Amino acid sequence: MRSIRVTLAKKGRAKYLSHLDMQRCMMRAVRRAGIELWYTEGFNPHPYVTFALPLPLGVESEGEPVEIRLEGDATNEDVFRALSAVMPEGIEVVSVQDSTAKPNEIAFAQYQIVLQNAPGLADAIRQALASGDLPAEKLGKAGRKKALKQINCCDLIGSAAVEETNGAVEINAVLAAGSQQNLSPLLLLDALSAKTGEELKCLSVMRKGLLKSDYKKF
Amino acid sequence: MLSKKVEDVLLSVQKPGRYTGGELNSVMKDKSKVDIRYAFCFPDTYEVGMSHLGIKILYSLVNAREDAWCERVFAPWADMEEKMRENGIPLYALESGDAIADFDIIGFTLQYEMSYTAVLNMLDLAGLPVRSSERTALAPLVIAGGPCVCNGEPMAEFIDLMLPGEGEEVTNDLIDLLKEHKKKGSSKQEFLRAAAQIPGVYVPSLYDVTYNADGTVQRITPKDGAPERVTKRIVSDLDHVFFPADFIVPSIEIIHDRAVAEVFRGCIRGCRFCQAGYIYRPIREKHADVVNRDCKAICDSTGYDEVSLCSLSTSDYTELEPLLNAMLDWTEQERVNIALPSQRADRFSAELTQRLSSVRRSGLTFAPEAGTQRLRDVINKNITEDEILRACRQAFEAGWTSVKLYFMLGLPTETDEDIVAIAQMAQKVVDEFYHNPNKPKGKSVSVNISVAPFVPKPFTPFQWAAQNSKEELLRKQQLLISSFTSKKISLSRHDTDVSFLEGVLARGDRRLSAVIETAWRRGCKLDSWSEFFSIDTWLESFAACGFDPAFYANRVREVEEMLPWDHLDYGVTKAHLAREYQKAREGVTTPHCRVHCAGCGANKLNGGECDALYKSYARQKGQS
Repeated sequence: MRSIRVTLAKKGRAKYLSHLDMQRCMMRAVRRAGIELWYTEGFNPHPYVTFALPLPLGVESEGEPVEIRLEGDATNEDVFRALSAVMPEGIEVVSVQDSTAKPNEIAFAQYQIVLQNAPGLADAIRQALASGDLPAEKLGKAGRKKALKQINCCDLIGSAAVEETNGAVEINAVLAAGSQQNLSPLLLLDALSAKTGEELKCLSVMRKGLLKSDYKKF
Repeated sequence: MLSKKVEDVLLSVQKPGRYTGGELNSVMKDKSKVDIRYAFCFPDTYEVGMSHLGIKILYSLVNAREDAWCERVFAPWADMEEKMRENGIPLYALESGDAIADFDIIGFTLQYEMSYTAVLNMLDLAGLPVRSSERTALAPLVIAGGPCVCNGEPMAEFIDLMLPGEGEEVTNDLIDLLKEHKKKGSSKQEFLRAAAQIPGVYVPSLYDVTYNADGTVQRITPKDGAPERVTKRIVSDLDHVFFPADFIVPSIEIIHDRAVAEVFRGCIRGCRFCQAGYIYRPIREKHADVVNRDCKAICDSTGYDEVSLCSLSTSDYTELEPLLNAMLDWTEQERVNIALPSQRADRFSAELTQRLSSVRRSGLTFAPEAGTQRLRDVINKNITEDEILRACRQAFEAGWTSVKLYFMLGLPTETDEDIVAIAQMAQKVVDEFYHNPNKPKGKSVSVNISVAPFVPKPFTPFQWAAQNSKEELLRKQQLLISSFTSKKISLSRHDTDVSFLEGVLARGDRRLSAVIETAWRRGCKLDSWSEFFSIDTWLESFAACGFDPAFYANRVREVEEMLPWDHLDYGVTKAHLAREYQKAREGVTTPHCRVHCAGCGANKLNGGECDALYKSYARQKGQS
């Protein structure tokens, strides 16, 4: 058995697929590709095909890492070729490498958020981000139950740059990501909208990559 | 491709993956290079519609033609519908994103009566008048197929033509004819008159229906050269019929998310309540090696890890054993589960069922349908209590702890004794579990009893029978509940109001079109979903149109009465149905078709051939 990391881009119509949909799509793609999978040994054997970090519905991505455990002697190149041939529209295999890092090493995600421009919008967003206070409500866990939690988005922003480019406002942000602390770019937009009082018209949100706590690439 | 307007609303609705298209194996074509654009519409949500085998077959069949492009359309959920209406988004096809009002054919499959208002709602969302008479141009032509068109009369005012029977051949005939008439610039009327000459095409507007003073049908008169009777189309040879090697693989989870292969059509059993058992005759089997090849091809092209062998009663497939052996050769290796739905209790094998599915172990379901042997004889179920208990015992011994049993309430001749017997049978099943000496320690049993009100359907021996009233059904449900003696037994009930309406529409005549339209205009649109179903709105609509729904559902019809579907021929003769109805009332069973041919008449559709006969003879001769 060996572990590989398949990095997938998810663009266009595929952004409307949820995390669970993506897992199902990936399982079927792996089966179509005829890749020999490793199965857990137990009463109910199952393969190991795991996305490192769920991607919110509606967000595109340039690189989603998926860990897959293999049997057999297929090389990374073999897997790349076999998988690339069977992916559905909008999901593309970017690379296949040996797996090194573990998902719990993920600390941040980089996002590019593009908003339709409006007069004074870029400045309003800059001010809101700089205010240090961006309250939002998040559905979190309280014990075994789900409960609404009040959070301050600013605590979860690593960095954020706001730029005006031909008719659009572009936010390039590094947000906390992972199983410990996580800020969805969509939640950030809600918070920004509430704070600025502007109705933000979002043109696209793209996850550019995942980072470890030292800001190195995951 | 998604339009900007659609993209703008998608993130504000639930499950946007329903509305995007672009799934694996969906077919894209250059619209400038096709002659006919076909919108295949399923009048329910994406998850329900994409689970249906017929849509997969017909989609691939039409797309195998170079001159036609078939695309899919489903009913939007209420949140999406609201956004569509708000933003002026017309109903569009998933592949191209184009408005279906501009297509040549809009085809609906009518799988259940409760989807009728969804058809109207979809036509309206497309920007089309719902009534056939108000759509005067040749395109789009609105057509319908599926089991409900065996009595599509309640939808007669909305649908331009119906296709009773199997769609594989007649769809191609129809596309050919439409292509020709489109080139000629024919009017809709000219085309419909010509289409009525194709065997298996029913054009409702070419038939005049008159009524007696008591409300029953007096006469159905064809005009403009339409045939006196329309005979359903069947495919003669299933081994060579078109079957797709690639299914669209939905990106979001659907109800039956697996590969499906058909093993035979028709049913040998002749259960007297079962419409499917009569309208899909005669029996035609597919050879095991063909089915095996189909299954392998679909699994390879889709990546599904489960394949379902589909038919009305898969345990009656004569080549089941060779098929399973051939399939296990590759399914075990590739970790593909084989699902055998519709297993009869008298043919159940726990060992086999376990072997087929290496991973998942869901509950088992059997369908005794009635509580006493007397009533099971009336409905010709031909299963004994011993057989049911034996099947449950086997299942428990093999480690199952959950069994579901289906029953009907309100069957003809039913007495309170029959209902109490349902509870007694459930108790016996519970007892079977505890009598098992090797029962798993610390585990309890769960027996789920599911009761649905009996709905008499056209083309069955019970097509003349009365449906129980709501009050009677509720009383019977209460009686059943009070008869249960164990907490291990749970009950699920079907809504009696839904069954009542289903019964009215199933045996309705074309005057009900007005009621359906009224109900839709008053807000009914997805009646198969309890969120949207409103019996009050329906009852008000009946009243507003001056019709009594009980006339259709709760009345005993005389065998001599002219029925609204008498001008359709599904092979099985009315005389056979009347004989079976009489035997039912006498409590006499009819053996299944392999024991003895009952002469239903359906083999005439297939040049006198029926696999129930052929296969049993072959077996007797030892050549099977």
